[in-house]
Order: sequence, then structure tokens, then C-alpha cells
Amino acid sequence: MNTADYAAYLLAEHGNRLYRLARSLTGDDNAANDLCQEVWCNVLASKQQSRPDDAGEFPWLCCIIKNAWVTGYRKKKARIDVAVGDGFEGSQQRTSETLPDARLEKKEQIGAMNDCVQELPMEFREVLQLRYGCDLLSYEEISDMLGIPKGTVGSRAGRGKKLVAECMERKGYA
Amino acid sequence: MNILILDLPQSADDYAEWLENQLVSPDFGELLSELRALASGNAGTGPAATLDAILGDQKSQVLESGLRCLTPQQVRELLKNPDALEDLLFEIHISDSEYWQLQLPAMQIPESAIPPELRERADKQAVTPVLKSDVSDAPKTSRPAATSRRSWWIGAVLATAAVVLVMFSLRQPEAPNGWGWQRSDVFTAQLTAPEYLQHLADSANQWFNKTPTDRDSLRTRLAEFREGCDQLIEAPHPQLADTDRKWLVERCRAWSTKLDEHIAALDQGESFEDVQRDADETVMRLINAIEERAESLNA
Repeated sequence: MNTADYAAYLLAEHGNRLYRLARSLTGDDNAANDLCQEVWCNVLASKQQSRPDDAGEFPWLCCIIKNAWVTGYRKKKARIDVAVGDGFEGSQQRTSETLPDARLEKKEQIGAMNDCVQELPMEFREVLQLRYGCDLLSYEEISDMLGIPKGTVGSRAGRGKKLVAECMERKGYA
Repeated sequence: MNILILDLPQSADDYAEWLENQLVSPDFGELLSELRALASGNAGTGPAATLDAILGDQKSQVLESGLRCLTPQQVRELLKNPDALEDLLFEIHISDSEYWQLQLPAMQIPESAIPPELRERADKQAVTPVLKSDVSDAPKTSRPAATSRRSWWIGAVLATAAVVLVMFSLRQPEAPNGWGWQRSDVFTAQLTAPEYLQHLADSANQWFNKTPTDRDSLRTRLAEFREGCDQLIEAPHPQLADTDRKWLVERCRAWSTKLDEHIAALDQGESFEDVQRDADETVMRLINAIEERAESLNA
């Protein structure tokens, strides 16, 4: 079977399953499409000797997708670092516009969220930092740690999230 | 603002179930990105843990029957180590575990995910849809020999036909819609009374996950919460004692009235900001009331 036939066969056999993985991994339709395109191009360029046996077909495709994902991520990250650090006025904005990447957007969003948390009054800030910072504590654990009722933890977390949402809206993250 | 990690359940005992739901979601990548951003902000807190180090000898159990066998601390470690979590995602998708395959959503590869040189061939062949149960049920096509393309085509057609039959014969349960108390799966009988009340409070807290930006979106959000109240009033709450059930229903009727007042205030032209602030307070008060009741049952 020539390479194109083989790729078409794999597409028919594993295409949907692979797309499902790509969609889940990227969390984004366009990124999933790009990633799948890259995988199928890799398959089309693959040598006959590299083909796995039947049971290994999907793991092999997953291996390709993982490599493409990690490599693409690193490449993109390097481009972002260069763009942000080149001293160009407004380069941060330009980076966001020219690299529409869900991961970059999320990173910016989380960065903005952290900034907003820092601006909160202490009582809200400490609860949110314990909850969503490096500890990921439950209400009960925060209650024990701060010596306040669990209901108070809940209301401070709720109110804190609300204030963060308002702050983020002001920063343009609707 | 849509940040998934903000939906982390209040109780660490619920982390596993929540993470499992995220793992089978098509939007899981968003959570991964958030966790990566959080982890990079927490750099210096120690070396990253691998999937094997976190799961230990429970890995096979996780692949076979999900995350519920893990301790809250293990789930927390997964959340704190996004690379390990990503590895777990791959292992789940590669595994033929019936448990996971039943939970992963059905998806159809779009044409835009296929290179043009393959697209034409794909048009000629039906790409076998991935169904929640087709991995074990549908006949597998075997890899064709170079000289037997005809049998491969027949196989593909038969597999497609089988999958279509499976599609019609399997009634997939519909995913619950909405948020908070709108979701029918909120009213579960699987929790004890205090856990259940806490669960209701957590669900109500989803009000704060989305901030309405104008009168229409606030009205919609209030109406959705109001609809959730109706669901709560109608639900059986089998784990609650009569007094607790009556208390909950009566309180919910009072909250419904309050929500109706907020909607009416909006309709009568009261300022968006004022109504939003009042609605926030109402929701905060009802969450506190339910949590206090849950704590009193625990005491």
C-alpha cells in the first residue's frame, strides 16, 4: 500500500478518535484542526518501515500528535519570547494578535487574574490565594487554616471571585 | 471571564469527580493551559512530579475505573503538575478501557482537520465515527494488504453500517444542560444530607462564575437561577429529613420571590448595577444559609 493509501486507511480507522484527542488537548477547534493536519502530513511523509502493526496504529498516531503538540508549543513559545522581548513598542499587543493561541490567551488571562487577586482586600485575597494558588485547598482546609467558619470561607471566595471578575472586565477580559 | 479552575469544588472529596469530568471534556485543554499558567506562577515550589510518581501502582486502576480511587492529595498533585495530567489524558485516550471510552464524547473529524491531499480520499470513504461504545462493540477493520483494497473498502462500508446501526440502537443519555440548580444531576441521591446541602450551595455558587455585562444578560442569568429554584422545589431530596426538606423548600420559595423582585426591578428600569449588586447579595445570603444548615447537620 502506498503512503497516501495508508494515510487514508488510518484516517478512516482512527481519524475521529484522533481528532477527539486533539480537541481535548488543545481545548480549541482551530488548534485541534491545525494539530490534526500536522499529524496527517507527518503520516503522509512517513516511511513504510516506520509503520506500526495493527494494535500500534493509534498509539503511533498519538505519539506523532504529542510530538507535534510539544514541538509546536516550544516553537511558538520561543517566538512569543522573542516578540515580547524585542523592545518593539506595543509588542505584547502585537504578539497577542499575531499568535492567536489558546494557551497564550489563557496565560495572559491567568496573569490578569493574579494581578486582580493582588488588588483585593486581604480577607478575600488570602482565601483566593489558598484556594487557587499553589495549594488548591478546599473550603474546609482553608477554614481550618485561617480559623474562620466554612460558610465565611465560601462567602469570601464567592465575593472575591466576583470582585476579580469585575476587575478583569475592567482590564478587558469580559 | 471563563476560568475553569474557579469551578473547583468546595470539598476536596469532590476533586476527583470534578477532574474526571474535565478530563473527558473537549475543553480540557483550556484547563491544562490554566494549570500551566498557575504552575509557572508557582515556580520554585519543588520539582515537577511525573504521572507514575503521582499515581504509583494505582495507575492501572485509574485507567480501568477512573479517578475515584485516588486520594484528594493525589488529585491535587495532578492539578499541580499539568505535564503529568497531560500524560494521563494521552493514556486515557490510548487505552481501550470501556470505562473511559463510554465517557469520552462522540466526535466527527471536520474537513478542515484533514490535509487537502487526503480530503479527496476521505470524501470517497466514510470516516468511521467514534461513538461512546463503538470501540468494543463495532467490528474492527483489519489493516488491508496492498492487493486487497476491495476487501478494505467492503470492511469500511460494513463498519460504517454497523456504527450507524449502533448510533440508532444506543440511546445516549443527554448531557444535563444549564448551570447550578438548572442541572438535573445536581439533585443526586448519592450524597448524605450534609454533603447534599453543601453540594447545593456549591452549585448555587456558580452564579459568580459569569458576570452579566448588560441588562439582558443579567435578566437571563436571574431567570436561569429562578428556573433552578423551581427545579429544587420540585426535587425529592430523599436524603433530607422532613424538617430539613421543608426548610429548604420554604427558603427556596422565599429566594424565588426575591429573584422575581430583581427581575421586576430590571423590567421597571432600575439601574443594572443596583440590581446586579442586590442579586449578588441574595445569592450570597442563600449560599450562606444552606452552608450553615449543612454545618448544623454535621455538628
